[in-house]
Amino acid sequence: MKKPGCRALAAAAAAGVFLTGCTDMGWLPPNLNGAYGDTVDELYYKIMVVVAVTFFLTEGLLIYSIVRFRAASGRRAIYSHGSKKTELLWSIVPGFILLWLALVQKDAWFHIKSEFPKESEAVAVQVMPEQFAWNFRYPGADGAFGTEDDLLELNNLHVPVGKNVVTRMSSKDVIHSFFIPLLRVKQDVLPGMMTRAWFRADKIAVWNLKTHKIEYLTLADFDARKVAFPASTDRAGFVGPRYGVRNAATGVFIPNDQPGGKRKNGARDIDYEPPRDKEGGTAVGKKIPIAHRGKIEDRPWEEAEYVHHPLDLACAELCGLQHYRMRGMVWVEPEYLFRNWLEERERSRAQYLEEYGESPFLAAPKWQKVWDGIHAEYNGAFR
Amino acid sequence: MSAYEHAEHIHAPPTTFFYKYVWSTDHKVIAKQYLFTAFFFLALGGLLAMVIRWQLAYPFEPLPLIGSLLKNTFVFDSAGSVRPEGFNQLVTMHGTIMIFFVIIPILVGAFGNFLIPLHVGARDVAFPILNALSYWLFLPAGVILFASFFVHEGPAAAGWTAYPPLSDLGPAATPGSGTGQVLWLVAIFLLGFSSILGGLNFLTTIIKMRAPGLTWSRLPLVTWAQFVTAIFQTLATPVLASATVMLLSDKLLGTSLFLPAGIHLTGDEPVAATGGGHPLLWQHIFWFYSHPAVYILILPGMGIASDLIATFARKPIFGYTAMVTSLVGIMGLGFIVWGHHMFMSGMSPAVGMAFMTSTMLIALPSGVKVFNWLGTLWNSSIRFTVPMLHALSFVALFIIGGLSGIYMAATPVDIFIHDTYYIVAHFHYVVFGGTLFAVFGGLTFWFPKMFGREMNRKWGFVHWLLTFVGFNAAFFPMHFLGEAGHMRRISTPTEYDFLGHLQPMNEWISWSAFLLGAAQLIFLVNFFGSMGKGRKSEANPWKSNTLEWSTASPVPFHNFDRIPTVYRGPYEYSSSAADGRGDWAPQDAPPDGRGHPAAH
Repeated sequence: MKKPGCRALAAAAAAGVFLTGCTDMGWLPPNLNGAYGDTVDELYYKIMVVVAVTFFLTEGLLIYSIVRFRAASGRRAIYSHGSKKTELLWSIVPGFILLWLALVQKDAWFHIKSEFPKESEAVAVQVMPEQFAWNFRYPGADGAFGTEDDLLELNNLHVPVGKNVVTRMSSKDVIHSFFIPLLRVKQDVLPGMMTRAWFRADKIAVWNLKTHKIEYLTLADFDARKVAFPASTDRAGFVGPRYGVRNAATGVFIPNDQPGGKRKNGARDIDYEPPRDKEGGTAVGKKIPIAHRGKIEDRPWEEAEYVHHPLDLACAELCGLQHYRMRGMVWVEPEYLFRNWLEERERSRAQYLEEYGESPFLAAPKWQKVWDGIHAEYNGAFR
Repeated sequence: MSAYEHAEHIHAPPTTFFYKYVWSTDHKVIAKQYLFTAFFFLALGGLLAMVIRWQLAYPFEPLPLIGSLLKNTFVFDSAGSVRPEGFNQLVTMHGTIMIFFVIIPILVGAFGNFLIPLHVGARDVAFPILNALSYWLFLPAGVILFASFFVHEGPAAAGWTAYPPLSDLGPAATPGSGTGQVLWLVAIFLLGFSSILGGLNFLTTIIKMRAPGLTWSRLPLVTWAQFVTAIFQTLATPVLASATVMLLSDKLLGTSLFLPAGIHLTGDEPVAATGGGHPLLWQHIFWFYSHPAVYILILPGMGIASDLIATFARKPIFGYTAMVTSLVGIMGLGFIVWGHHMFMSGMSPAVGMAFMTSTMLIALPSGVKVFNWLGTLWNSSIRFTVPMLHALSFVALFIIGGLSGIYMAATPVDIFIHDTYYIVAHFHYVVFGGTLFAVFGGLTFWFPKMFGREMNRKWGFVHWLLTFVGFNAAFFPMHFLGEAGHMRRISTPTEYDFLGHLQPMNEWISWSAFLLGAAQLIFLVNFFGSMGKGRKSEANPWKSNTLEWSTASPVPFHNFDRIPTVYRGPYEYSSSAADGRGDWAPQDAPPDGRGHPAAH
């Protein structure tokens, strides 16, 4: 590197790589998808390196030129129409880099969008969004969709940790987009056609009752901890998630239905409240289901270290007036909790059948009629 | 006297107000008609953006002053807070107005009309009456779109992309999907015709009416950019016009071209008159036009920046041929990249792969242009005039907008950032950071030719500075929002746990946007103030080479006393041809070195 130009080039490239690292200030949300989430993030950073080097090189040259070649008395620009060699160089090199960037995406792209796991070996879920809710259908004990033992769930998607999940999706009305940011999953869902997505969640979201923060635990860590559940789920437990304002210094939480519980910019903190007694006070020593070492036992709530917390499911496609409220919840849980949940849903379905003489799922939701009327051929594939 | 001059027929200028300012066939007046109409829409679209930013910073908090003035409308509720459906309508109309009624009319309608005849040395465009008709189709389109604000349930709410079924199913799907959406479609249809007529006119003018000696290799790059843009307009816009007719047919005639069977909104039965259609059909047709439209939004800006950079760097454009080749390359590739907007639509992954490759490749000609602008600045002698500051900002910001596009081209990465604020940051860096800076630079540069006066330089500098700072403060953090997964069209990000920590950034962006909006008032005051009170300009205040600077300021009705003869390229600065004249060599100055009238 004898020429100053080469040194400048090398310095800019090094600065680019260094600053690329600095600019990754953790804006990407945590990545829980063990199937291909890391690949997506790695490709993102690969592009970021190329982009950062180019950015610092070009902006650096621009700033240098602005300073170095500003007009001054007696200075006259050097008359030149350019240099064919230079132009060839800066056409061919970027051309190859861009082609390389396209090629390195190929395998990941086909892996994510074409190479679906065998549905018989995965957890299969049918998804039918509508204005403004997410409908999920599980195949029930017979493993087939469109039969009487199908299980339906509204807005809550339960998936076992470490196991592939395949979703088959079709919209009931307008175009929606199935977006789970922490799993790097996004797929438009259209009426009249079926689209698919798949993922494998390798970590479980929980709320740390001491630090008041969301954490993501591996299955082994989850099993080693004592994890309670929100009362809003089928299992009794902590009240929440509640939203409001937490005082950073004192840790005191004010719910948003009380004075001082709202910020003007809408930013809100999360909290879970211990179980209440009949008078509305804290039910000291009350036993609630707590997961620990692979089983659920009723224990005093004070023993709990964490509360199971859902991941956000969002619709990324403008879908109508309450588009912003297309929030669903994804409950990543150990296999035994997932099975436990399925059994619980099955029990409640059977109970409804016994009391009212018909399945709540086949009779009530219209979307099932839509799916089975139009997409019956997609049911069979799951068998 | 040349054969050219023998053939020409010079009309007397109109004398009545109606023919002078209303039904004028003078390309310069029509350019100003487009410009002033677009200014109105720029103010309107900008105000909508301010309301959008208020909602994102302070969800459902009453908007001071405006909220109370406009309460109980489609946007605001009785407390003066933005309604959720109103937010969707604001987003839709902001995008529609800025793209179709501000950027394209200014770049093509105003700059194209004003500059093309002057740059080719003609007295007007090839078809002046058709030119007037173009504007008079554009204006009703704007009026119709504006009227949609006042219909029951307000304007369209399905996004500027108007994806069916949301845009197709009527108010049952979303408020604004009824009359508002119909008016939107009629407006875009009319606008499409205006655009096609304008494109044909410009193509004919550039091909057939170039002055003697004005070969293709001597055309200013801004005119080359208009030429390529006109090809886009002529070939791509009819596809959009067809799409609007098809969607209108669904909405008004009961067809179901975009509606599959079995759509259920409310009630037990499927929506009537559905079946046989497909929503993806609209997306393909729409983006077949609208991706070329992205280049319609940027190519003329690139041309303007090229002219300004060469003029104020006092140096020929580095690699003129490569610059023209890049424009043509962008045009060719621009027709085969539309599918990158649909990577997540359910389109075949193999097709997605093909679109990814073509999209990666289209970055190449844009990159070549950037390198050539940098090459032009190298060993130059830069004058930091207000137009040049805007042109340099264009380059700096276009680099960012161009580079961020690579992320979206990469299909696996796009899975995460698709429909997030990353996209919002990207296209604002291209369309605002790129194009609008070029527009500000171009307006300041050619203001003397338009009005015979100069804009105030001090206020021009203040406007540039505040705009540059405000723009970057508002739009650069949006990359981080997108990286965090913030969806682009939600009115209330605080509904989601994973977005909660981003709210202070949303607040910062909004206040930066308010600064950016306020800075534009300075521009408007300077612009209109200088029309009447600006310093009178000489014919060639910037010592520029292209033909428009050889005639008086403001340009007379017939443009040139004599049709000029062109002797050289447009960027012969600091060359030997300039000897005895300074450092510029007007295109029509004879090569024997004799002085040029405009130089004195």
